[in-house]
This record gives sequence, structure tokens and C-alpha cells, in this order.
Amino acid sequence: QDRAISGRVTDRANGQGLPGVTVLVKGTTIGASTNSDGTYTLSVPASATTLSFTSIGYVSVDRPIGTASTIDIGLSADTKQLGEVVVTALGREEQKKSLGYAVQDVQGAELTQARETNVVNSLAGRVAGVQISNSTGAAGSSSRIVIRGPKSVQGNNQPLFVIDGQPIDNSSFSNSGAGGGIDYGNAASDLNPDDIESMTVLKGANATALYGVRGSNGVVVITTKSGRKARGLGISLNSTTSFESALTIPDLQNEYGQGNNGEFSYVDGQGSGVNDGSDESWGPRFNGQLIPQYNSPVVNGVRQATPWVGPGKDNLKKHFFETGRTLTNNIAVSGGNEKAGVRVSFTNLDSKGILYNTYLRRNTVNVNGGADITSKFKVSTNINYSETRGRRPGQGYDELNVMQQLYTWYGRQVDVRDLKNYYESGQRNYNWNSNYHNNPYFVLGEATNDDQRDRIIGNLTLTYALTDWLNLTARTTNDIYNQFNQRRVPIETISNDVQDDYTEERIRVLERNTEFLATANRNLTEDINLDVLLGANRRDAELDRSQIAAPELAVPGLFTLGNSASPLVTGNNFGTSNSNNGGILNPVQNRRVNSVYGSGRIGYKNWAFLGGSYRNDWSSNLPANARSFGYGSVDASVVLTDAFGITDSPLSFAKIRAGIANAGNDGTFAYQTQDIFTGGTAFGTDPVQTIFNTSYNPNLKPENTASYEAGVEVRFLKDRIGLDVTGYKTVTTDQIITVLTSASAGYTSKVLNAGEVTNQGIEAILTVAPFAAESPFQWNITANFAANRNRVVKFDDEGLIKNFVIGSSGFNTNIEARVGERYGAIFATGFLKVPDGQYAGQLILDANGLPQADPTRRTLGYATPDWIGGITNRFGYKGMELSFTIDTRQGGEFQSETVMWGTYAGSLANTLEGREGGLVAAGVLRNADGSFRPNDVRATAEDYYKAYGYIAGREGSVLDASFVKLREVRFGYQLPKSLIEGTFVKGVGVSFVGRNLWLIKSNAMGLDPETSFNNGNAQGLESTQIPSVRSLGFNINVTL
Amino acid sequence: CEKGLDAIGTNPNNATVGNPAYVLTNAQRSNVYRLFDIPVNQDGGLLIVQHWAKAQYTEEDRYQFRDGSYQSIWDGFYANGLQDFNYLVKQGETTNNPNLQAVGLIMRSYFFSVLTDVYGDIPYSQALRLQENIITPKYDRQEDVYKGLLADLKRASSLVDASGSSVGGDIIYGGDMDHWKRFANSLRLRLAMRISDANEALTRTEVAELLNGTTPLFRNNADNAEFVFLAATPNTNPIYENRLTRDDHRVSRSLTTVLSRLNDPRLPIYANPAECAGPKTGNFAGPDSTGLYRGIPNGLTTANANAFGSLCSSSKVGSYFTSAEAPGVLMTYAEVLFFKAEAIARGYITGDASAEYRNAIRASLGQYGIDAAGVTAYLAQPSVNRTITAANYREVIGTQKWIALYGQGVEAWSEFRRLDYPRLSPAKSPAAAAAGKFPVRFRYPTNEQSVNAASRAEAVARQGADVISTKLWWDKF
Repeated sequence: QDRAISGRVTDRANGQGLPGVTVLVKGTTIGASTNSDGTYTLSVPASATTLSFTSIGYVSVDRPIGTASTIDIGLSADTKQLGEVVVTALGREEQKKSLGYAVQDVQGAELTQARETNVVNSLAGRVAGVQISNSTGAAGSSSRIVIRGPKSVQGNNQPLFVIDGQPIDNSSFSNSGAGGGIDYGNAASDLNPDDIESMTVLKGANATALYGVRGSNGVVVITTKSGRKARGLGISLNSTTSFESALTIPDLQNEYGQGNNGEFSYVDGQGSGVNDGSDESWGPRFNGQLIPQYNSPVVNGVRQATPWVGPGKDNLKKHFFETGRTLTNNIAVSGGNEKAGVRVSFTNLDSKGILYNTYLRRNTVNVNGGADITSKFKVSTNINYSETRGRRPGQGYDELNVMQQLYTWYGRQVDVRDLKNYYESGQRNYNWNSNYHNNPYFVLGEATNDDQRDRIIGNLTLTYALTDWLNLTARTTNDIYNQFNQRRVPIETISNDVQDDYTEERIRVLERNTEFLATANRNLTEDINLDVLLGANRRDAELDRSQIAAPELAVPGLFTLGNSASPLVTGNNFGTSNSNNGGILNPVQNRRVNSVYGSGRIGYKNWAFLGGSYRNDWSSNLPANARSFGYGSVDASVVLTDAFGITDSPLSFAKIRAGIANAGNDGTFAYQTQDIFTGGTAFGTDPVQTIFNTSYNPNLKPENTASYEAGVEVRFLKDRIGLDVTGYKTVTTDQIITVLTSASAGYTSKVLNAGEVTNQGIEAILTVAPFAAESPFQWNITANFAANRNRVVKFDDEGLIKNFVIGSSGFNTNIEARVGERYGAIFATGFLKVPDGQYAGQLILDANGLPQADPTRRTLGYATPDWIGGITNRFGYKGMELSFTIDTRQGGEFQSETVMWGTYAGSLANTLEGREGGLVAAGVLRNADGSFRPNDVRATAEDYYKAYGYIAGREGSVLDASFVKLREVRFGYQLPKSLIEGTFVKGVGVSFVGRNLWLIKSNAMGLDPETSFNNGNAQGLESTQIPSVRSLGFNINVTL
Repeated sequence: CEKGLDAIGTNPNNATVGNPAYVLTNAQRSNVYRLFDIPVNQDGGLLIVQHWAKAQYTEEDRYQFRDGSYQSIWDGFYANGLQDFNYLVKQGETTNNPNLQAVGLIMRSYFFSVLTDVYGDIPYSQALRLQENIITPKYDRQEDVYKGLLADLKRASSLVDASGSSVGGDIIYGGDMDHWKRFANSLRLRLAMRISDANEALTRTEVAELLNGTTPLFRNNADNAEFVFLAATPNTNPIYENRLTRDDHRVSRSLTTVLSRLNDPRLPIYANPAECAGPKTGNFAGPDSTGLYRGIPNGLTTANANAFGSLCSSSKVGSYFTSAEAPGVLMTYAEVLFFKAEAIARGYITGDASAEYRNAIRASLGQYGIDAAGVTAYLAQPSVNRTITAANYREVIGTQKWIALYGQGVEAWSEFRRLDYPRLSPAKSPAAAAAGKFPVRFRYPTNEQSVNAASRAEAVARQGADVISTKLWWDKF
């Protein structure tokens, strides 16, 4: 039984009618807007109990309806403007307008509906100056997040993750690199989006100085959903189903098959036939001619010739990559009263990868509760338990990454469906080539990499209100996990491997923080507010890691250490870089940092603010004389519109802000102050020892990052247009890095305080709402842009060290930090070119008309982008919402081994030109007198592309990393209340979501330019990538 | 706030003090391993001198060496070899153990000589001094490196004190200092003879001291400096390790041709017979090779290597050399005798060059257990029983030395460069970088261009372009 309610909404400050106020029956979509004089009328169902009044710039009010038919109400202007309270360092809620630095947040609904199994990916394209790179499309792969550019040459460049005031570990124990290995994901991917209320990104050192050594790369502050605000019982169910497919694969050619010199005939796939031992596609053209092939029938011992045809353009894309499927089901129950509340949530994630026999599964239980024991004494806790199980594919340039053969060293006549048939019909490892490659299904089916991680993240917080303005808090937080990795490598038919082998890795990580805080917030006078915090923290970080391998198993197929036929060895198949003699250099790594700190903010009339912080750390990582180090920050902001009383103006809000900060850092690794001798397997009964190749440094001192930022935030037309612009500069000095040295000095590397890196840039966020808030149709545009200029200024003071190798491919492409250049230089051998004169820049070809390598290596590109940006459009109409996000990266390059070998081996489409009759390559020849003439020598395509792709250096495989992507499309619909009225259901929402949908623009030959092996610093290398996935799915959310 | 931090900050994983015996064991093992490993030996010297050839992945056999190989040779010998031996020299000094000092000096000199013979000018006088803050050591002229090494070896020999402190962990001579003294002198003879074309005056002075009849040198094969690997990983011979997963190498056709022509009894030890037939048609057609010694021509393209026949149709490297416990040979008695013969032929000392030459062959055959009858029959052949003269010593000694040094890739390459015999043809399809000739050095590793650029540039300006066709100082002909 509906009834009518009417009334008038006024501004409490002046009593005038307020137009455009949204009046809603709480919990429904039933509502109206006030007219120009502030009046409204509304027809409400009998079940309605509360009306809510909301308007931008005013504090929202809920009013019980009771039996009233007229409800008049006065709204107060919201001094916090849009209710923008953000959670900053140490879990403190602060008014956004009081901050002298940039922060940006993402709300939980955006995380759960457009679900990513790795929550870090959800930030992509949404936050200015935050670059997310997802390594590959393998289920559960890692993501890298960098805020305002890489600052550290060697150390971690990723932000700290803090959950409800608790710093957590975001390590990655992946060993995937150019030469192979496994990506186990980054530890923050254990977080469950369903339990997240919001994520706030604190970008600059001002925001993060209070986190000490770990905050200098920014902080992602995560607030979880709690039961504290619940009243009575609440149950919510959230279910997402999505399907994944390969977004893009390299541009392969489909006209020529296996062989060399246009010739091929199969006998044994090992060289007994014509080029049948070759795994290249320089063979005959597909003309349907009859040629004996690996899958041709054998009659009376004679392999019959069968038609030579290609399997079609999309053979791999359609038939090799499977449809991935991810199911996520969450149930959350919350309940509480005025004094206590609890929320319990369970989530099951079950994700099947696009590669055969790969998956990621995770169960998460979260308990979040709190109670007011007395009016002054409060207790709260959050405990999160997760267990993750993965089966992951091999990565990089390795036979155990099946993409290695499928993209590059492949006979393009092979139909991948045949390979699957052979594997499944019991010819486990029968393959088109028996020299170099296993059947890819055999690799995925039996060379499995399994991992499990069991993790508890928990904290306990006690708060006591000494007075109404002074609180004391004690908090202890623990993040503990155990990871267990198993790698099975069955006998491969392609090598002389005679037995199965098996490796186990065990990892234990502990991150514990114990903290005491005193916080005071007091109005000193009517106009002056003081907010002060004093604290002390002890951080303990522990890592234990061991690897044991059975190099030869006795009973085939029984993968246990006990089944080893020969002595167990440490290390072996995991091949970590931080290793010696195949093992792990430091299996035990402990660190403790003790800290005291304080911060404060003074506000004047709530429009001028001055903040500051100071912290002193004592770290076990540094030598005793350098162990103690302090640093701090100062920032200020003024809300101009309030200061000057601007009210009736198109300018609705204006604020300026500025800050300076310093942050210290104690280095990434433990035990860097003393030289060591390492051991190894004894020679018979003689023990062995060797001087370790890295020279350590007893005179280390802390690193320092100085940062400066200033910004302005303006909003117009009642906040319908907003612009937030920040300029910043960071200078990181005294970096603790391990620089390469000439081995002739006795060590291959040396640890020292060296390296100065600057980052400066600009970030802008533009928000536009073309329709007024009272319009039934809503359109919100949020665009962000960030350009960062990075420069490696110097290493040592003497200037002897000019570069630092961040990482390298297996084929001599380095990713380097080079003095005077951008971070992430792709340094390798380029083509020999004419330096100047008439033919400047042209390739100097050799006498055979082939490109040649320049003997001096040079920078061929940079892994870091020029700028990144994203735009989200959100349309709302009644209960419907449609949004889409496009993001882009412009500038920067990557070196592709797929292109390098695919060009060499003739598998890629770029190798088709000149196949018939050869080609006269662009370039010049050197005359006897040293002058040049245009090339007139014809080379075969096979010779030319082998030289171009590989022999003459890496320049032919350096690609533009720019892209424009349709990152996300989401359509949501909230069922009208009328449909579910009278049932126990309080709300039903459905949404359809697509992620990573369309690579709109890219120049990367079919590769996804967002690529890497892991989330480490060595970005800008690609090797037979597992394609990134396009995900399409739907989500149902039911509230009971 | 500092309480307890010292304890937490102390490395619980690794020793901060060394044990010289353990360091010596590891340094001997890992450096002998490296000397016979892929980069400098199996894909280096042995291919260049045509002891071996490649049946697949023929790049190195066509003189296309990998950047990574240059780097691993350099880094390995310097940081994992010379650095440890240098530590032992210093330990010997500070603990007043001249025998330890001598062993350290001899091993250090051996691997410095390997490095200079591979690269030419190398960091020597400023090398291994990072602790003194020398981060970018200057390169020394090869001549100066040789002078330094000759002096070091002389000093090492004089340091040996039979009644002095013992040396633990020595897995080459088991701490027997008489052997070490002989090794020091024999190695000094090798280095002195190496520079005979470039600084003959110095060679004469050195040889006069060494071959004066009283200086102890190797007396027989039991004195040989060799390292015997063990049966179990990771202490096995690197050739064995390579064969576990790879099957790329075969013996060279040059080797099978020369040894067959000489009816050399070492052929069945150096090579295994082919296990199946080669192609019956085409460029590489021939009689059924099953059971025959069928070497592969060096430097085939991949396509030609394929066409040469399936992998079983060519001769693999002899089982003696591919076994887990095959010795890594640093220097032999035969070499001493060959040098002696050559010194006589060159007129540095007096004696019967032909007799020393025959003794050298006897020593080499003895190394492989050829019986007396076999030795006699071999030496009786006119093609072997040659008279050494000042005119023919390069050819006669060069050829037999080339055979005797089988498997010792670096030394065989050095002597082949110096003596220029036997006359072999370079790879069939060489890479452009070789300029149609045999490689005469390796390029400096690419990292030197970034981490020690100025020093390297100075060396290149002095020595000549950093390419594999630039001759070393001692390589005059």
C-alpha cells in the first residue's frame, strides 16, 4: 500500500530551498529530486521506514518516516566536501582537503564486479601515475605496480601494501626469467576483492614518510569491510563466472612449412629425412603437393606422402588455447549492535587457465570484528586465512614453456590438434620434431609445477580513550605464510635425459609489526585545530627458503625426494638468480627495524593546514655506525574557496598544496656488510669453499629519497567539473646497489652506496559530470594522465661506473640503468649503420647483402613509458550502470625473443617477403675506397631473415611498447525493489563484465606489449609470452 | 633501540672466514672444470684446432662464438679462479707457509697464462685488487704479463720447501711439493718457449736456466699435472656432463685423416667408430661408415651438417674422454720433451733434437697405455721417424704436438698458432668475423665495454681491433 509523502528541503545556513536534492526510500531505487524551491513529493511503499536526503556538498541525512506524511528537513553544508575522508598512513582517517599531497582511491564495488584474480590489476587505468603491468596470461601470474616511476636502481620499486593499518608482504618468489622458470604470482594477490571496502593510493613520500624504509615507493592502503557498522544480521552473496581466452598471439605466417631452403621430407624428425631435424619453417610452400610428414600413415614400413597444407591461420588461437574459466563465490555474514559487530566471509576462487592442465584455486576466510568493551576501551581484530593452490606453466625461453616451440621453432604445417591426439592416445611424447622439442601436451600434462601457499594475515588492535581528545592504541600485526613448490620434470625424449627429476622448494615468510600510538585531536581555539600522533614500532621480517632436488628418480613417475636414485642436491631446477652452486645464497634472512615517529597537523579555520612528520629508524641491515637514521616531511594546503569565502561562483572548490619529504631506506637484502665464503658439494671427502663473487661493504649507509610535490585542485559548476593536477620530483641518492665490476678486479660485483635517480612528472585527474546530479540520467567521466621523466644521474662519485645491469635475456640483451639515460635502457647489439653523410642511418650490408652487427653495443630503446593514462566513462540510469575504461601507454620499447627467433626460424608473417626469388635488402654496401653504394645484392629470404632477426643483433626485435586498450566494460543492473518486495531478499544486482577486451592499437606484431616474465625491475624483455587473457563474465550479487 | 640488532644483522648462512685447504680444493676443481668446459675448450680450442667438429648447432665451428662464452671464460677464471688462488698466495704469506704460497702462485700463473693466450693483453698487475679500490684494472701488454708470470713461477719454484708446512686440500698432487716444484719449472718452460718468436732473447735466458740439467722438470707421465674427476655429479668431467644432455660434437675429419694416414694407435682412443651408415648420395656420399672412423669436416652450415648424415653416422669423441672420471690435463711430460726438442732445433741448447722428439712421442703414447710393440711400430714409420732440423721443426714437432695435445683445447690452440702446423684448412663456411682465417684470439667480453671501458679501449688501441683475427703479441707468424 503506497502512500504519499511530501516536504521541503532547505539549506540550514540560510533557510532557502535546496533544489536537486535526491530523496530516496532507503535501500531502494524509489526516489525523487527536489524542485527549484526545494519541495518534493514521493509515493512510498508501506514497508518503507526511512528516507534519505543527499546532495553534493551537503551532509546526507536519514530520517525515519514513521507515520508522517510531511517531512521537512534542513541540510548542513558538508565541510568535508563530498564526504572525502581518506585513510592515510597508519590507518588514520583524514579529511582529503587537509592534505598537502596527492591521494586517490578506488571503491570496493569496482573491485568485486570487475573481478581480477590478482587484485592489483584492478588499479590499472584508474589511478593517475600508477603503472600496472601484468606479467602474462598464465593463471595467477604476478603483477607489477609502480607509482611515479622507478626510483631504485636495484631495489624494490613497488609500493607497500597496508591492510587496516597492517603492512603485509608482497614478495614474489617467481624464478621466471628470460631463460625459463615459473611465475608464482606476487603475494598481495592473495587478497580477496570481496573483503575490500576501498583502496587508497598514497603516492608521494609526504604521504608515506611515516611508513619508514618501505614507504618510499608509495603505499596502497586497503580498508577491509567490517561488521562494525552493521545493525542486525546481513548476508550477502556474490558470485562471478568469467571465461578467458587469448587476447592476441603473434602474427604467424601460414604459407610455408617446416624445412630449409624450401625443402622438406620426414623420416624420423631427427635429421634422417630432408631437413626433418630442423625446427624452422623455411620449407616448401603449401601447395597441396605430396610430402611424407610426421603424421603421414606408415604402410609396410614406408611413410606415405600426404598433401602439404597449412592448418589454417587460427590453428593455435582456436585449438591450442583453451577457454579459461574462473568461478568466484563469496558469502559474507555480518551482524552487530551499537557496541559490537562482526563480519565473516568465505570465498572460493577456482580458475582454469587457457593452457592445458593449468589452474589456480584459492579459499579465503576473513573474520573482521570489533567491540566497545567499555565506553573508552575498544578492541578490534581482522584475521584473514587463505590457501592457494596453483599448477603453473613454464615461462621464458625454455623447452618447458610450450610457447617456445609453438611461436618460433615450429613447423608451420603442424596442426596442433594432432599433437593433442597423439598425447591423449598414449603416444605421450610423439611430436613433429624429435631433435629439440617435446610434445607440448606432454610438457603441460606431465612437467607440472605445483605450488601451495597457506597464509594468515591477522591483527589485533586495542584502543583506549584517555580523554575525549587523546587516544592510546596498541596494535600487533602478523603476516605469516608457508609456500611449497614442486617441480616435476619427466624424462624428455629429446635429450639424453635418462631419468625423471624432481625439485621441492619451501618458503616461510613472517612480517610482524608491534606498534604503540598516542593520538590527540583538539581544538586549541575556536579557529585552530591540532591533530598529533606519536608512535613506536618494531618490525620483524623473516624469510626461510630451501630447495632440494632429486636429480634422478629411481621409480619412474614417482615424484618424491625419497625416490631419488642419487644424492639429493640443493637448488638445481629452480635456478634462482640469488644463488651460488645452484643453491640459495642466504636461506635464512632476518631483519629488524625499530622506529619512533611522530606527526602532526594544524588546521586554521578548516581551510589552512600545515602538516609534518618525523621518523627515526634503527635497522639491523646496516652497520652499527650507520644503523640509526632519521627523516621527515612537511606539507601545507589552503582551500582558497573557503579562505576567500567564495560561494556564488562557477568555481565551487579550489585548493593548493605543496610538500617536501625525505625517506630513508635500509636496502633490499640482508647481510650486505661483510664478505663471505660459500661452500658447495664436497669433492669426494674434501670440503670446498670459495670467495663469493660479490664484494660486500662494511661502510654502507641508508638510501635516501627526497621528494617535492605541489598540486592544485579545482572544481567548477557545483563540482561537475573537477581537475586535480600534481607536479613532483623525487631524487633518490646513496642507493644500496650491487654494481657489476670487471671480474678482473677479483669480484664480478660490488655492493656500494651509489646511484642517483631522479623522477619528475606531472599527474592530472579530470572529472566531468555532463548531467546535473538531479538528472535521472548520469554520466561521469574520469580521466587520468601521468607523464614521468626518469633519469639515472650517476653511480659512484668518481664516475667510474656508468651502468647497472638490471636484468638480461638469455641472448645478450641487457636491461640497464645507464648514466644520463632513462631507467630501463634496452642495451644490446644493433645493426651496423652508416654514421653520417649521404647514407646516414642506413644499414651497412655485407658482401652477401645481409645486415651486420655493430661491434659496439648501444641502447636500442627504453622499457619505461613516456606517459600513461586512462579514461573511464560511467553512465547511470535508474538501477542501470554502464561503464568502460580505456587505458594507454605511450612510448617505450621491449625486446622480443619471439620476434627474434620467429624471424630467424621463419615462423612469423614478417618473413614472407622475398621467399620466392630472394630480396634486395634496404641498405648500402661498402665500396673498396670506403664509400657506400645502394645495395644491389640479392639474398635469399632465409639468409636475410636469419641475419635480420638474430645474427646481426637485436635491433630487428626491438618493438614499440605503446598501446591503447579497452581495459574494462561493465554493465550493472540493480533489480527494482518492487520485484523483490515482500521477500527476504534485500537487494539483487547483476552485472556483465569484460576485462582486457581489446588491444585497440599496438605496433607489436601481435604480441601484447604489456609483457614481462615476473614483476621484478627487469621489464622490457619478452620471450615466447603466454598470451594475456581476455575475460568475459557475469556477476550476481544478492543481499539478504 | 639498538638492542639485539647486531645479532639479527649477522649472516647466519655463510662463513666469513675461509679455510685455505677448502678454498684450494674448490679452486682446483672448478678451474680445471672450466678449462675443459664448453666455452673455452669444447666449443673453443678443440673446434679451432680441428680436434673436434660439430654435427649440429655449428655456429662455433664456423667461428661464430657467443658473447656469453667470452664472458663466462673471463668471469670464471678471474673471479672464481685467480681470486681464490691469489687469496691462497696471501694466506701463504701471512701464515708463513711458503709451500701454500708456491701452490697459489703456480695455479695463479697457469690460469693467467690461459687468459692471456686467449685474449692477449689482460689486466694483470692491477688485477684482483678490488679491496684496494681498484675497480677498473688497467690491461697489461701481453709481453709484460709473460714477464710477470715467468718471474712468479721462478719465485714459486724457489719457495718450495720440502720440510716446510704442508698444503691441505691439494687434489692435483696431494700436497707433494716436489711435484709442485717440477710443475712450476715445466710450466715456466712452456711460457718461455711460447714467446720465442716475439722475444727470443728472453726465451734464451729462461731456457738456459731451465734446461741446464739440474732444474727439476717432469720426468715421466706420473709427474703430469692432471686433475682426475670423480664419478658423481658435480665432480664429474665437463665433457661427460655435456654429453648427458647434448650430442653436438664429433671428432674432426682433420683428426681422423691425419691419424689414419699415420696409422696412429691413439685414433681408437681419441675417437669412436661411427655406428651407422652415412648418406649414399649427394656431396657427402661414401661407403657404409658403420664401424669406421668418420670425422666431420669443420665449419659446415646447419644444412650441410644435416646433409652429412644422421648423428650416428659420424665418429663420436672417444669414450676415454667422455667418461665421468676422465682426467683434466694441465701439462704433460710429453710437452716438456717437445719443448726440449724444439729448444735444441732452435739452437738454444745443445742435444739430440730427434731423440727428444721420439721420446716425446713415446711419452704421449705411454699416456694412453699403448704397448711397447705399438710404440715401436709407430715410431718405425718414416712418416713419424723424422729427423728434426732448424728448417722443419715447426712442421714435424707441430704435427706430433697437435696430436699429443688432443683434448687440451687451449694449449693445442696456442701451439697451433705459434708453430702454424699441421697445415689445416679453416672452417668450410666461416663467419665473416674470421676473415677467412683461423681465429687467433677471442674477443673481450661485452661487459668490459661497460664496466671497464677506458682500460679496454686502451688495450684495443694498443693491440689492434677487438676481433678474432687480431694476432697476439707472441703470435708472429
